[in-house]
Amino acid sequence: MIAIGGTGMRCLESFVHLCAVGMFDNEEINVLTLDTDQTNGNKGRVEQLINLYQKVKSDSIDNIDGGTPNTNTFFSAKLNLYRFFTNYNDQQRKTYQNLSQINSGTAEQKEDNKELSKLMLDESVQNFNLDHGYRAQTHLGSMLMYNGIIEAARSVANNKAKAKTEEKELAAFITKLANDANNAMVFVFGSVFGGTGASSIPIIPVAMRDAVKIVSGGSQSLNLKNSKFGATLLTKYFTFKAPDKTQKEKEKVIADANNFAINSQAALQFYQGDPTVKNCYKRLYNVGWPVTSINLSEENNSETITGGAEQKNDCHVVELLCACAAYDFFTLDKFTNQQAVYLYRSADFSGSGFCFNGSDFVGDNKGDIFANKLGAFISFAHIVLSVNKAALSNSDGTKSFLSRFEKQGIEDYKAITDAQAAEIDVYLKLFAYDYVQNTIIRGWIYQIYKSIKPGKFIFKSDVFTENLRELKDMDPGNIFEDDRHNWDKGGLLSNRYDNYVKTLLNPNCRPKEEQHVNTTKEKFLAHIYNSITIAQKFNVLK
Amino acid sequence: MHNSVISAYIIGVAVLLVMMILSIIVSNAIKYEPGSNPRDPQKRRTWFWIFGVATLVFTFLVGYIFVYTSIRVPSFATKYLIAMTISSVVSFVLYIAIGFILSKSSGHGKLSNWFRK
Repeated sequence: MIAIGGTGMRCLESFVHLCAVGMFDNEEINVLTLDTDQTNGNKGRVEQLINLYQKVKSDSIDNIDGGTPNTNTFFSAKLNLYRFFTNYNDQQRKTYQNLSQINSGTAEQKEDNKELSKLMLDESVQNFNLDHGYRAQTHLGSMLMYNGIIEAARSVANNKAKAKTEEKELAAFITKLANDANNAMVFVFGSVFGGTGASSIPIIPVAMRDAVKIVSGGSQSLNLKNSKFGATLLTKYFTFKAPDKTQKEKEKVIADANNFAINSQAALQFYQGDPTVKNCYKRLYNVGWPVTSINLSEENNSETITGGAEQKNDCHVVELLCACAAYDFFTLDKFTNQQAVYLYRSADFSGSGFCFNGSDFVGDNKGDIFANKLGAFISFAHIVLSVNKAALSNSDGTKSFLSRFEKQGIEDYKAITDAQAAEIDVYLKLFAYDYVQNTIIRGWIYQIYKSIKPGKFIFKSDVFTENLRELKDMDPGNIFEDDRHNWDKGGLLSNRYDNYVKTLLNPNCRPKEEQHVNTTKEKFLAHIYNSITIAQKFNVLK
Repeated sequence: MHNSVISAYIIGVAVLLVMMILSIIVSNAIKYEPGSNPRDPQKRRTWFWIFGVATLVFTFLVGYIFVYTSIRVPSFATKYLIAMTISSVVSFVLYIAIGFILSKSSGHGKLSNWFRK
């Protein structure tokens, strides 16, 4: 998995949450985050999320190994994170002109360099600050991203000890790719309308192939005909305030959201016709948002944010759709096509919004699995955050499950410490919501729901309430529009939660051998997963 | 055993059964509570012991009110008083013994809260 640029990072965020939900069973996935902007807020956020994911699966506090791949449980995929960024912080690397050293050499060479550069790139493009990305200048971006990857591969090949951390991490990712060259499956997340992602998608397969050769010293190769590359072609779905005159004068080159639609159109024409892309990629997923784009500009922000730590945007349902494209790609049995196939899927639009069901995300035959797994994780989140008040009063949370097991004489999970239980709480807060000083902090699924509103999204709208009183009274077993999948009410002397705990304590819910869970925390999560799945009556557990 | 004191033991068995059934019903009616320090196990334990003491007291009281007060022969009254006392204590001991067996054989369910793990 390779995530590129701000949008790629947010797609990766959705992908990580799908892994937490349990959609990528029995997979070990190597994730490479690739950006020009080391400090990008979206990049930092998703890297922290992956680190937390790894902690949630690991038993030891000192050795975060990320656990093991499991089947039919939460956090079933094992994720390994590799981070790379093209470093444009040094003064000699801040602009294209500095980086390419066109001012070096003899006077004649300098002149030739300048003329050649001028032929390809405007003066302003040659001189803008690169550390916030390629600012929609994809012709420059493709060249520099390829250069960045090859430069890093060479640096490691020449002297690994002296190579920078990010270069070593890229080399480690490339080595893994090389070791699995014939069966390698690589999926790329990025937008086609912005800067970094749009620049990188076309060159990634070729850059990886060349980097494999360099890092391995020529002993290994990546045959692009045998390896499977897939990518999302994500067109315009957000906008932000156009840069004003002052900012344009200051920045010279800046991404202008007004051009996103035309950028998207041009990019799609390119991906449809370019022979390199068609020969390198096996599957390209067209993803778009054909209704009003979400406006990311904050009212009080006087300037367009071109990148940096401040660039932390809410997630959108199209990013979840991109993550589901990755699900389709990784779960495909066979790739028979030699050239790229272009895919899309549509959803019902009625009234004033989309009406999404499970099948709209993952296809007709897997809609139930998606609804079961996502629903189970939402129920789990609400049990921890709302019923056990981890979000509302910062107490109890996952610890409540451990306490319940202990009180009922189930001692299998005693090794999980309070601090480790709190890490699961933090993950669930990032997934669903947190409540800080009487203000809701929307997590991923709440942000996704907000982007769909006023449309419909598999579950009842009450599930995504932001009202404190309603959250306190949340019924985590009553989330589906289809009442067959809501938990049993429990009868005269019981209620849904009481009935659920009875299921939880049933020996049937204990982790099973076929779930391949190894660490104590994986077993604990499998136990919770089994109990909620049985309560939901989806009949997807074997 | 003299036939005339058997009723004291029959009362003991009857009260024991009623109290045990009530204890089971009440324990199951107490809902699992959320939170890391739920009080429901303690509530079940408390009610188990309340019904245990009630077994002791009611066995004695029922025998006293419905049988002992109507005995006119002093020597028989003494015998019956001894039988009532034994029956009450035995019922109580049996209640705890049966409760312990049920608690341990109920796996991890609500009755398991009667005795601390």
